[in-house]
Amino acid sequence: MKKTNRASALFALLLTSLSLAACDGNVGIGMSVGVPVGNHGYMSVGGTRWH
Amino acid sequence: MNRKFLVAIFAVLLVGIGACTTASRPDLTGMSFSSEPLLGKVVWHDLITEDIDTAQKFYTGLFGWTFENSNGARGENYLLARNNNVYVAGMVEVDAAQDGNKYSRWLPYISVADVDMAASSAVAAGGKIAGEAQNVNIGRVAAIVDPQGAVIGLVRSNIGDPDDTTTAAEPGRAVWNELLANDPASAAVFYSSLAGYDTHTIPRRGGEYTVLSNNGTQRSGIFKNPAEEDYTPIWITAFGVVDPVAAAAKAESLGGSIILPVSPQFRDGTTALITDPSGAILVLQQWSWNGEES
Repeated sequence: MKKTNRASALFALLLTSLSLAACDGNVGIGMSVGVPVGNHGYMSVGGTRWH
Repeated sequence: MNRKFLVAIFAVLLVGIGACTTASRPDLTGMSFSSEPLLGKVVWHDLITEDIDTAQKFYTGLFGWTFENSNGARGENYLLARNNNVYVAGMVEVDAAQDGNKYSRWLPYISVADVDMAASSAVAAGGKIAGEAQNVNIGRVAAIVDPQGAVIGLVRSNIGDPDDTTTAAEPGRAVWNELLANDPASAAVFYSSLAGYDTHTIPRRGGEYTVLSNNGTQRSGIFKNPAEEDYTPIWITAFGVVDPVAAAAKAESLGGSIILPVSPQFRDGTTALITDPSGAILVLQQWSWNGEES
């Protein structure tokens, strides 16, 4: 009886872990990159150069 | 006692599943996915922002996006943005830097067959790693700095890539991505190797424009940065709008800034170049909604 209860508890914990892991979903990334953007004021030099 | 313990365990299980299915699981019913990776396609965009609350208000007002909470790669505050029934972007918050530099940017992610191999080949070709290869919600991702300094993301999705029907150009969706490079020719060689693009350079508006295609479908472009001197290259994302003049004015009223206003000299009056309130650059692009730039 004790073995059955223990197995059931472990199974339930496993299912809980799996279900919560799946909560993260399957779209989206959310990774940060630590690279400064820099000064892009040059872009305003004139629309004629935007080919 | 044992029985109570089991009941408690199953209660936790039910609560977990319930919370998952009602609050956190993205609803993908409005999207369809390819069975194989659409190599070279930009399949996701993340806004990296130093002010996610203001960004949420800005893009809600500008594009009518709605948002859902999700989890960033390392537990950061992360939002998924929806345009009607399609997830179109994410927003991840970063701390404001103390070094005076700005980090807010739109980051496109290109579909590749193998993220780790693509990142390694990028480094071998003179690039650097901006974000180590890792598993996240969508699958496996990394980010690189190309040899000229532009940052781009790489992704291999677990569920296939959103197909071209799902990502068809509409107002409020990303409609194009392009690289402002110091050396467009060498950039074309690099990205062709990275993602298997066919490259085609055409004369356009008094200069040259290189189109990156895969299996006959145009995926993105490269052109010489508009300044005479070299600057750090950047990938820019264009979002579709019906009226770029009105959209730019709306962006400004929401706290954004106009870098280049709509004018006949700037891509025939179809385009505005703006920043959002935290400084991320984006293009507002009038689109004819039949697959062609206006």
